[in-house]
Amino acid sequence: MTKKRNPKDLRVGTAKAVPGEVVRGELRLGDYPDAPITSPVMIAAGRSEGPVLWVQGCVHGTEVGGPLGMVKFVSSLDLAAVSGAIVCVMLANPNAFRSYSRSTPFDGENLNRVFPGGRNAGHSHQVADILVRTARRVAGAALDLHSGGDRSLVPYYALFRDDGSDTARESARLARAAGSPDIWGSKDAWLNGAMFTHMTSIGIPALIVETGGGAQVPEEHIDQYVTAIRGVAQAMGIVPGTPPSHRNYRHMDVADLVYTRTGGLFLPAVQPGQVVRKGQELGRVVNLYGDVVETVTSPLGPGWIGSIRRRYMPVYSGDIVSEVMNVVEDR
Amino acid sequence: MARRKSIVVGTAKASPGKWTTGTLTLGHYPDGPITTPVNIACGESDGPVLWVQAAIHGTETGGAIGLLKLLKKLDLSRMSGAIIGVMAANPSAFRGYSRNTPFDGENMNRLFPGNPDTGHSRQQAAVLMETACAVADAVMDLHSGGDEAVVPFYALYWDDDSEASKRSRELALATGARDVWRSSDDWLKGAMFSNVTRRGKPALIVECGGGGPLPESHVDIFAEAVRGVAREMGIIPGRAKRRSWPREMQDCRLVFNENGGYFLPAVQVGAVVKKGAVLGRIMDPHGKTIEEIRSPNGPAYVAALVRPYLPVYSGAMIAECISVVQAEGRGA
Repeated sequence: MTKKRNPKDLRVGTAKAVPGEVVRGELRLGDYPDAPITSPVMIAAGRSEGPVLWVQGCVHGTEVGGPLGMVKFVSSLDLAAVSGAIVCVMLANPNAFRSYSRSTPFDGENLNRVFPGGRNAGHSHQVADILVRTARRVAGAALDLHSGGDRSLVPYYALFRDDGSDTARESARLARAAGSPDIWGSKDAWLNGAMFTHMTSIGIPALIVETGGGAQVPEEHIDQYVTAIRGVAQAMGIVPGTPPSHRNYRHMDVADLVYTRTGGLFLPAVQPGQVVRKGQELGRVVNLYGDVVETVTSPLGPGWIGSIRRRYMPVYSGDIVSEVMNVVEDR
Repeated sequence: MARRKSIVVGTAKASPGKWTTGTLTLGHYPDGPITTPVNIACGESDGPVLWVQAAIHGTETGGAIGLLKLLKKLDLSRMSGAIIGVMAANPSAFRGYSRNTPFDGENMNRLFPGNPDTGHSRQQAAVLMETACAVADAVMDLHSGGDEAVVPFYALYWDDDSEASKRSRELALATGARDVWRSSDDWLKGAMFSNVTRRGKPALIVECGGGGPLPESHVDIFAEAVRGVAREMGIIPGRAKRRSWPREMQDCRLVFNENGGYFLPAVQVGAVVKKGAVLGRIMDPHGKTIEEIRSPNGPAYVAALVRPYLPVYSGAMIAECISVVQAEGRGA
């Protein structure tokens, strides 16, 4: 059972919760040479005590669907029926958002690979450290919203760290409440530095929800984020109602990253969310003379396409053009 | 149109009835040449030469892909003359997947005719300008809105009343576009098409799509636009499909915002709007509308618009609005 908090005691940066209200403020995550680096924060607090859900977006700066989903979710809330609070950290990597880049421009780091971070380390590590310390202090669970950004497409799915702990089991329960029938219970070493992995290891249930990308944010994807936030908040008892559920879920455990060996334009042969055989063609690389210079295939099967590079995108050798996840239980 | 026996662009040397390839050196990295791939599709018989280039803005790749699609369909035995494809007119921008040249931050299509004695992008512009004008009878530059903006399908030529300008208009109509922008805008004086026209050769830009996805329909539009121009020039047999009375525009106004946030468009590209019409809104990170962006002219054709929900900074170029001087289907 997630611990309950009295909303009036909740504070994140300059945002101080007020029971029955949505308040705004800023969380300082670092400093420019001349000013603080801050993320906008909203806290939607109920009138009665209850659990606190931490929701964040834009750890990768181009994945803007998450914050848009938070805005839409918060504006739809009936705060009189809320118990506890939802903390929305709109821009978990403000510098990447402002530069509209996946990684942090100052140091080139992928912020979601450096958790738990540290104070005596580089910029992205310091941002990670502040996010973890702040979330740990206030939250009963953490939800991190992602997409394929501008260059790739991902299906709608939930991702948690499956380390066999009770916290992982609670994360799995929240993942099933996020609205998607596709669940990746990750055991991958390459995600050891992700925030959801670290939060799980310190006993706070955590998950990622992914959807969309490819430089588009249709309303359908914003609504999927809204469904995910509401579903997790319902499962925690913050928002009334029953979270969405499916008769059958597809479960994946590990993901293989698929790289190109040549450069050119990428032509995908599969759709995000498709199940493929080992060795099945995922796409081709075509050079600027029109020649097919490489055919990219699935390294495993049955594999679920967790991401695929968008059609005709220029790629360099060693580009990640797909993530293929091992299907352990299909729908 | 001129007839010639030898067509050479960089290492690509045309051969009658064949598709040959090579590279054109446009500059140098610290450790080697900066080159663009070149394709030359050469007919069996002599005839005019059309220079087609793409990706002068590095994220605008649809033109290159459309050109490849057309080249693969061509029957070279029935062609007279040649089509030269310069596939990445700004190679470092294409490689860096950025609109401007990463080395110097320049928008390369604002500094033609270029100059070999100045900075990198200007040096590249000079190579393109001199190479194209030496070998080609007409120049066609393919563009899109890139990843951040969306544009409708239209053709653009430099309107200075010269013979080259008048011929450019004919080629623009041959693209099949319904909408034609006859530009004499100061801010486009440094574009390649305007400089080629002033040099006495017809030139045009074709714009289509952008905003992320590149649907096959846009690839086909580029392919058919090049086919239409090549037909009009007599390189490919057949008649170009052209509009009798296109919509014509001139005097483009660039529209900027004053606040940062997410952009939410209120109109579609290609729409004709009244002066003062709302083009879109800026929403702050908390969901509050903080600015309305309005058309500064009207009736105006919305020729570019930032894509939905893109984060923008203050002073971003949100839209291009071109005054409509002749509605579609009406004679002058």
